[in-house]
Amino acid sequence: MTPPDDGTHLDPVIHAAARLKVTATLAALGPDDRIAFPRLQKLLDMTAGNLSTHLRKLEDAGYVEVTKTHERRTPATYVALTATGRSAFRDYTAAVRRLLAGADGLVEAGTDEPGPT
Amino acid sequence: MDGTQRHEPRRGGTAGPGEEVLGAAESLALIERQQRRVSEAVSVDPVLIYGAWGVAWLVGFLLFALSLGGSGLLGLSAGAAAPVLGLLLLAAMVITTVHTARATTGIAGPGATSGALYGWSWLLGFAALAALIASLHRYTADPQVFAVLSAGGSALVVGLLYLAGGALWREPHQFALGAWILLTGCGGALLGLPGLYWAMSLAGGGGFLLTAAVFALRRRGRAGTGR
Repeated sequence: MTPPDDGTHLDPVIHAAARLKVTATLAALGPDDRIAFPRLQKLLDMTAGNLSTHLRKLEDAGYVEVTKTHERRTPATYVALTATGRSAFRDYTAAVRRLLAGADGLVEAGTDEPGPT
Repeated sequence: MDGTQRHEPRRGGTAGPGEEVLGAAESLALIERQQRRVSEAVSVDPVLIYGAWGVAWLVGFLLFALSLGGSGLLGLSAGAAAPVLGLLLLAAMVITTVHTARATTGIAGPGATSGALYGWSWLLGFAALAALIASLHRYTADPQVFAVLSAGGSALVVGLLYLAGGALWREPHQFALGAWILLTGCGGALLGLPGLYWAMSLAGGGGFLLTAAVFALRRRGRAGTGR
């Protein structure tokens, strides 16, 4: 998962439009806050099935933690970014900024070739 | 994962919904747009809350002050001013409760726990004040005593809870408002009636509105530089 890094590698787990949106949303919450699945869905305008699919991929990467609890006997699902996920998102954002600052469009996002330094 | 997609970032999107890959600039724009949307949706709007309480205090206590002043300016009696103040305070409470519940619904964690406990502090604080005021009925029937204790006591509860809130969320404006409410509402009680009502209306209500204005200006400043 960690390729030779020139500082512009974009994490493929996050670097897909839907998962980027999910990760950015979770990162905007308080550091240890969790969000209920329906509320998350509303903030993302995604279908439940689509959101579940992407959450599973983020969960597999260890970026997201999904907890199932009961609230007054109704099952509730909460989603939170893990510490790993938070730092992956921070790295991703830093890499994107570096790409934009350094490459001026020469190196497209997601390219693995070293940047023109 | 798959190398072909990474070399053609703008044309990905064969692997299912949401798998398409954005360019760097679009990614950054998406992050900023979404994070702004989320923080607006899940945070309580100080402009709305302080604005609602500011209007309630300014107008409600102003009517009280005028009704006691004997100026006959509006031909208003204290009996007519009381329900208006009650309604204004009730409206501000409903706005605060509904808005806060809407913003924080579905969020759990340490921040949410702090918020919920802080919310209960308001209820407990005012319940305790009501009990205290009721206890005095045994010793006096003087309406002025109850008037001063209700208004000044409310200012004490509000002021202390804003000090606590400012400390809890490291929010100096909220802390300053709490100190100001204590000064004008409890210090204002030294003026007697109707001076206390004037203080709570103009200084107290004005303090709420000024705080709301500070947050509104700060938000406009941030929106201006945010793009």
